[in-house]
Amino acid sequence: MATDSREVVVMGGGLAGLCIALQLKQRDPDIDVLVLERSEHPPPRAAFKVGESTVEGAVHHFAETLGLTTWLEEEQLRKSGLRFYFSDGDNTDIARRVEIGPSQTLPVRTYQLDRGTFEERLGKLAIELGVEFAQRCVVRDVTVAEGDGMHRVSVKRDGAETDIETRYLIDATGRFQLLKRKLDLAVPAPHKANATWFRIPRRVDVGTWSDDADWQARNEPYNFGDGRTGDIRFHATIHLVGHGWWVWLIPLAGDITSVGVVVDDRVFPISELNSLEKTMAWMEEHEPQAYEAIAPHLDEVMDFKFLRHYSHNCERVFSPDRWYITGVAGAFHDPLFSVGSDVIGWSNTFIADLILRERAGEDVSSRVELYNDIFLNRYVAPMFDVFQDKYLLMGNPQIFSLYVHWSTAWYWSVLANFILHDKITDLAVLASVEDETNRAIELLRAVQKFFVDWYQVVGNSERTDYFIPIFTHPWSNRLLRELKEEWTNEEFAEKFRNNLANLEHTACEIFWMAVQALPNPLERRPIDPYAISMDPSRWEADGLFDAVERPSPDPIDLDAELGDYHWFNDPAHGELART
Amino acid sequence: MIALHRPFMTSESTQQWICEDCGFIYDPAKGDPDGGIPPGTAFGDIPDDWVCPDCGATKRDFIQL
Repeated sequence: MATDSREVVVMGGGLAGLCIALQLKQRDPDIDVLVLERSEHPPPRAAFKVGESTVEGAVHHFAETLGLTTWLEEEQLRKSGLRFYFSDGDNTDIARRVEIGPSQTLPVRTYQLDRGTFEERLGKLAIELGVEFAQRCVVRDVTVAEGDGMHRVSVKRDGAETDIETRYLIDATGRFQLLKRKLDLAVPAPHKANATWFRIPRRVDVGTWSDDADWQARNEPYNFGDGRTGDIRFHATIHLVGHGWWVWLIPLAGDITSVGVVVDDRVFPISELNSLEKTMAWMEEHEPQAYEAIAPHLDEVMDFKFLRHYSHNCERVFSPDRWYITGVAGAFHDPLFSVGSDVIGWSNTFIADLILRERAGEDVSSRVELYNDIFLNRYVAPMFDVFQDKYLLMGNPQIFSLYVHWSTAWYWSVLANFILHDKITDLAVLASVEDETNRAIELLRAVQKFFVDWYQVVGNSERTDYFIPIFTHPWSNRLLRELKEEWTNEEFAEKFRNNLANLEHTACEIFWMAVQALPNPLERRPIDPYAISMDPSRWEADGLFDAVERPSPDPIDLDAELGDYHWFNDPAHGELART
Repeated sequence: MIALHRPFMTSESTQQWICEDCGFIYDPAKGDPDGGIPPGTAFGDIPDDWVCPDCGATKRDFIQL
């Protein structure tokens, strides 16, 4: 058996694997990187993988860190943010459904990725930079070394077996989760949800589903920034939602549409959806307008796939023994909010940093532990709270809209700020906001739990004909714009503190909106946002009222930010706020 | 006896199984050579530590198709 010796072996040449290979090679052209991929390039166009919709953190990673701006602009479709349509009756008239989504072009560019063309491009770039990209390679076994030893990877290619020794080993095997299984690192995720999806070579445009003049007129066109415009609904990631489910419609370049159905396992088991026929029958019942748009073209469907209980977590992803797990091979949360490629960018940046430092002779043992702690305990774990039980809330447009509004404001204030300001490996900056980061995570958990609490009190609520131009409210929109501002480290810390104070204030405001549903509404007074709940018998003991009024150092207009949501409690208020 | 026995053997060695987590179909005629399972291996004869080549689910996550 032939034996080869390498510096870095990446198992898996998908998005995570090709990106880390590129990142390493761009940072140091002398590094030797071998990528082992099971399939053969080029991958099929569009009908390849899901994870098409990107958010600001991922786009920063692809565009700025990896320098792919030109390819994103030339080959992929712009994304105009998220839009949600809540259920109304039998869902036969989209114009009657409560809609939330930006009414104007958002200030930070994001994209809808055709994963086939994108990964083909990544593969070509990796090869151009000198990465060895070996395809049709199956990893048969791995022996992980301890201490200073070399890892061994047994590979089969075209019938021949090779043993490869490597100093650095990266697992990017996706759902196959090779190292996690081998080293018994799996951590089950409590979030149980299922998804089915397919692609069709047709434009599925919700903007054409109603000719209601008011509905057509309430958004501005999407502005590409170069004189061209498009339809803001067409470019969005569309979510058609109801209690326990959402349907995604994602446009891809070349008039292809990605269609997915994602369900809470408690509401719809996978057995009701695990074929194209069953998914379409489900859609005919729950989302008839989507069904009507798609059903005539079923003979053109490009693929169909499903996953049961897709969420999973990992005990360790970076090892002092120089193995690393990235992407879906480590943790996967949920397709909602499209955080998958953000997670890849974050973990790859940690991995590249650890390998390049270690390779330069630095003792990285404490950094490895710190990065594991940050990644798993301060990023991945809190993010699970964002998804846990939230599909149930899709049956209540007020709670779910506020959940989207507050959760994205949290993401832009906390995670996205670290990513877009390139601070995730800057230990001095991380230390300067450590207390605030811990508080932000504690607040996230308190508020995420509160949304579920609130839903348990009020349940589903169907409302008709309302529009909230989410993400265009003054503070949310400013948070987005600030992601692109240049800051000194002092400014970064100051903004971070101010954002946290405003997240606290908005959490309190949400509490006051929610408690109106309780039989004995409470009189407004200072409250502790970390102690909010919908159980009055717990308030004293939890210290809800042990709070003094703490004005925000950079106060925001709470009515301008959240006033639209009062409509759900009092329709007159919302209408006034909107005019 | 032989006539009764043969169809049973045939169905066991050609029975396809599907991964309930991702829909991957195990076909004994093809086996899973990349995963160390030669063509012609009935599902029941696959070692217990074999996993779904697409999603990593265990053998227990497969049901008869």
